[in-house]
Amino acid sequence: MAQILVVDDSDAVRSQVSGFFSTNGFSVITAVDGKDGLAKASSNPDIKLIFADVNMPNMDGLTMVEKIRSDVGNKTVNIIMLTTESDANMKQRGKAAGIKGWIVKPFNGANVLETVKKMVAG
Amino acid sequence: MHANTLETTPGSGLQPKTPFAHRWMAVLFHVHALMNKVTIRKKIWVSFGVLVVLLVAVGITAFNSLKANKEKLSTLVNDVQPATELSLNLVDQLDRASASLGFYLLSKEQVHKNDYVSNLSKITQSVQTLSAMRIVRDDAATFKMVDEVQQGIAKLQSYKEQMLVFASDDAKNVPALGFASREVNPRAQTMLQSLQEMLLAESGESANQERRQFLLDMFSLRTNVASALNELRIFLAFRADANKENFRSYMELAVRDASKLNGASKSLLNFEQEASFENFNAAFKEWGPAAEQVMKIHGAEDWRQDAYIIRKDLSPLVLQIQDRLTALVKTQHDFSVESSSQLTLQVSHTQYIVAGLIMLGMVCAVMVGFFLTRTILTPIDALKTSAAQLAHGHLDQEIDTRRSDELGSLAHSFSDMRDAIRKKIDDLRVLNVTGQTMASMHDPMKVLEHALKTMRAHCDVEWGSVYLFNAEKSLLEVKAYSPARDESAVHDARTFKLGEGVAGRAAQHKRIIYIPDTTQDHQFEAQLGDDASARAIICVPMVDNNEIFGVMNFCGDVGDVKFVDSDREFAETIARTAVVSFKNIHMLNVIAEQNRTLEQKVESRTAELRQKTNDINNMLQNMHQGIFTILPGRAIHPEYSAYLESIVEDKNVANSDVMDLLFRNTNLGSNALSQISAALDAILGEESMMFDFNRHCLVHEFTRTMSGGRTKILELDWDPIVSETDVIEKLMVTVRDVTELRGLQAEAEKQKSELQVIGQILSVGQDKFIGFIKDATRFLDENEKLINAASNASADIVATLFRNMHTIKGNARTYGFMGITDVAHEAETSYDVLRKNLDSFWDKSKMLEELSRTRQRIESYATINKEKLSNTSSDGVYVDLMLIDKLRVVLEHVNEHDVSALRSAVKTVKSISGAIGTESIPALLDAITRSMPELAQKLGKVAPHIVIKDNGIRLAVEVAQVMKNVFTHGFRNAMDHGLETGAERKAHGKPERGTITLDVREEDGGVVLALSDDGRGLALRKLKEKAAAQGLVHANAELNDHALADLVFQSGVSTAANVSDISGRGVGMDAIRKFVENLGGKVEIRFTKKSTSDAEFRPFESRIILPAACAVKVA
Repeated sequence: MAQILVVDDSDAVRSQVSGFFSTNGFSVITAVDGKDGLAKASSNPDIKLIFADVNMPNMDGLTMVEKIRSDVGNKTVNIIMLTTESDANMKQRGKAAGIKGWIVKPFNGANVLETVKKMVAG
Repeated sequence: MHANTLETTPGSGLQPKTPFAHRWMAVLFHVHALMNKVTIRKKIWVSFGVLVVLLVAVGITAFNSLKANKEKLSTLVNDVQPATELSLNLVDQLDRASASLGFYLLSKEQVHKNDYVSNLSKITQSVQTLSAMRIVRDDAATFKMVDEVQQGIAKLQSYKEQMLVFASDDAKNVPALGFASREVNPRAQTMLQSLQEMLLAESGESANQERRQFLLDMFSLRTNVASALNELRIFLAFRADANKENFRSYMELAVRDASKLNGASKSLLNFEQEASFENFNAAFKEWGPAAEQVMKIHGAEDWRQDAYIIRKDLSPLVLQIQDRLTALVKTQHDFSVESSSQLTLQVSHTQYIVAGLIMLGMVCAVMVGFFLTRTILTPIDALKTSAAQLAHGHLDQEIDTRRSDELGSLAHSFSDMRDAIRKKIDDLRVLNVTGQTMASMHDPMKVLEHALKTMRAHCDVEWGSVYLFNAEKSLLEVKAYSPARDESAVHDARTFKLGEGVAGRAAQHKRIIYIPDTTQDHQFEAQLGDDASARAIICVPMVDNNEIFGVMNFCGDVGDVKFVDSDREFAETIARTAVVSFKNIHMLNVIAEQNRTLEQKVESRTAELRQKTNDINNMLQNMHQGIFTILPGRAIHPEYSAYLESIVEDKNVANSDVMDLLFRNTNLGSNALSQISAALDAILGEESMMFDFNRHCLVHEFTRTMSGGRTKILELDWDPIVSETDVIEKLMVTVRDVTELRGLQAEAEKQKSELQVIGQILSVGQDKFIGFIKDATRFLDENEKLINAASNASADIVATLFRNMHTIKGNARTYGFMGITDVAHEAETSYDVLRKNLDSFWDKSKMLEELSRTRQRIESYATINKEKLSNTSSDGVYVDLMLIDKLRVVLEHVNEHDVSALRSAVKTVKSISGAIGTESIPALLDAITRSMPELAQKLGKVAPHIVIKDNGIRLAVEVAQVMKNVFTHGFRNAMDHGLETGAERKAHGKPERGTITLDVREEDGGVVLALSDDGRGLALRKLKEKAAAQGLVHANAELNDHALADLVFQSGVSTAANVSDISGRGVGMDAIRKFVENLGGKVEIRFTKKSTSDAEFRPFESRIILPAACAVKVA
């Protein structure tokens, strides 16, 4: 049963993030873009946490998140966006979609681990 | 008002003036008095009774009157009117019957006959009905009239058959016609027939003259007879007298003709004619008179029977009947008119009676109203006024209670109520005063005593006591007495349990127990058998909020004690007030105690808070850290530590963007900056976890370039400030300027390694060290040559390179020069690579670099040795390994993050190790200063006072050597040219003994050695003249003092008049300049006083400025 979904079009980031959580004993699935992420999120309703990049081909991360909330109807899954920049509009959209927050890349697993453990457990 | 009337009547105010008036007044007074005795209820009943009687009278009168009218009216409607109607009908029917008869007789039409018959029968019926009417029967005159009518109508009836016969039989009706048909017409017929037969018989005769005459006569006779007959018929039809005349004429003619025939012509008659003529003559003779008879009959008055009868009998009869009927109708009409007028009269009569009675009723009603108003409302008004006055608090006004009716009793009640209120108010006043008094008391016992005292006064009891429950609430114990008792008398005071005794019972039931007489109270005696004397007891429970606290017990003589129901409330209130006051006092004590502690707490807490606030403010103002918080949006909160401004060198901190304030002109790349700002956005205003998620993007140290190109190293700490809802409201940032710390740390590192080197050299010894340096330099030189010469690796070159470097490394290791071993090893490793594989890349530049690095390291060892260890002067620090180790220990144990500790450690080490290889200024000047008195003596001057202020500054050994030469010259110069002779100085008001001062200080990043004397100063004019004489300057050149002073340094210029062996040769100053400039420093003349016009001399100091490296400041 997958616990974490990592959505990023960058192989490096995807493997870094998913690798970190796999190493730390989580079950992780990945998706290469927003479309893929949406499909995986809807077919894996037990996912507890989604890490999603913003800029991706086919479907951007925020649109994916909005669709997960509206189309898939998953209102509860924790969502954390990965980004390299800050943008007031994006933050607004994220807040409206009920995301947990933003992580500025580069991703630093050690800082996140304890919190993620709690999220996935809850 | 009413009361006033009553009062004044018997008084002197209305004395009767006359006996009559007096009697009236007396009667009125009695009536009035009587009226006041009658109850209002009765008055109202009587008044309304009168009104009811009047109403009944009005009703009966009106009823009776209306009843009589109704009878009359019914007579009119039921009798008179039908009779009149019937009479009029009869008239009408009579008319119709007559008319019908007339029409019938004329037209013989059956319908008129029917009308006539039916009208007749109707008339008969009507008259019978009329005669049967009561009004007709009852009135004789009327009856007579009706009877006559009846008889007339019976007569009219009797003509009926006859008239009907006349109508159907003309012969009977017209007698002439009957007579004619009987007597005339047959004869006429005979005559005419006979004549016709005669004429017919002529036809057989011969027609002669005679005969023709005869025939003519016959014709004439027949014509005349026919004409006469015709006239008769016409007369019968029209009864015109002309026709009668005409008949008679024709008869005469006929008679003439007949006689003619008779007389003259008898012979002419033939047989047939003769017989016929005879028949004619017979008929003619009789016909004539018969015809006359007919005319006579027909001409008579009754020629027509029906008309005759109608005219002669029926018409008068009908008229007579109609007359009677008219009279009858008139009678009825008269009766109606009379009845109506009677009715009208009666109605108006009734109207007057009813109106009169109503008037009477109204008057009675007004009187009743007036009466009731006077007897009810007026006293009520008086009471109302009293009530209003009471309502306004006028309790003392009089209320008249003398009336014995309901109002009287109301007034009584009112008065009672007023008294009750007055008493209540008095009670309340007492209660109020008592309450206030008790509230102002501070002693609970005094409160209880006061309550007892008040009750005693109120109820006239002899003594009272208060029993309060003990702490366990089990026993009532006596607490206070009134009047107060001696404490000793209280020792045997008894206690009560709940329910025990009167007090116990009052407490148990929480209600007042009043025993007017203890001997009469069964229960009391049962409880308290020992005291048999009669007493009155009042026991008042002390209750507040339904909680019992104790009992107030009062005792007095039977009959003296006053205690009514209304006093219960008073007693309860007193008891409650006492309890409340008692509790309040207790509460006040508790509160006062609490307030005292609370005040202390608040005070200490406030002081603590104030202290904390002050501490925080002081901290923010004085801490040598920048502390501030960032709000969402990256703006800086207006509260921040003052030091932040000096760190960032910007006053506009509040509300500015942190990215701009902190990270302007830094060594951070744009990517790092963008990461920081993105991370701040991802943290601020988000859940607390977002700090952990993003803190890796926040930098902790960076270098910032300030204005003027200075750099600052700033260290940052980031801490989130999280709200109760787990949202990061702010980020707290601590900024430290670690520039000095980092510098000190670097300095300490440098010192450490230097000390290491010194230690290593010291442990080897100078000879061995110098030998090592020599060998190493030789090997390095050889290697450099080899590397530069070769373009690729060859086995022997590499072998030489390796061997040389290996030797250096080996030697260094042997001597323990660890700094050299490391770099040598690096180079050796490179050569080793090549040695093992010659085909490896011949990286010349890398190898040269490694070589250079090794050389630098070795040279640094050599330099340290040269500076610190090779030239130790007499006052040099004694350097041994122990000292070096001690210094190293100092550096190693210092807290690297504590700037001041680090600073002092570095300073200590520096001052000690810095002194290694330096010489103190007094030491280096020692020989010079010692030579000064002798020199002064030689010059005939007083030995000068020499002041050396070195400020702890020492000079490097090699610099010290140079400076020794410089100052030898400088001091001699000052002695020779500067200081005047003692006499000269004295003349100028100066002390005989001059002063030469050397002031050494750190200045502008270097060391300044300023030499000055209090002599005459620089001889500016002489200097210029000399320079002009030597052609160095133009004699007329405009030179300022500084330019002139600069001439001092020109080779060969001396202002001294005579060149001594001491100075004045003009080579001194330019030599000094050379020496100093060789050390990287400079020399200048600085005037110490402002220019005075045309002064020959000007005070100055010679300033030798050396680079910082030349000197060491020792604490």
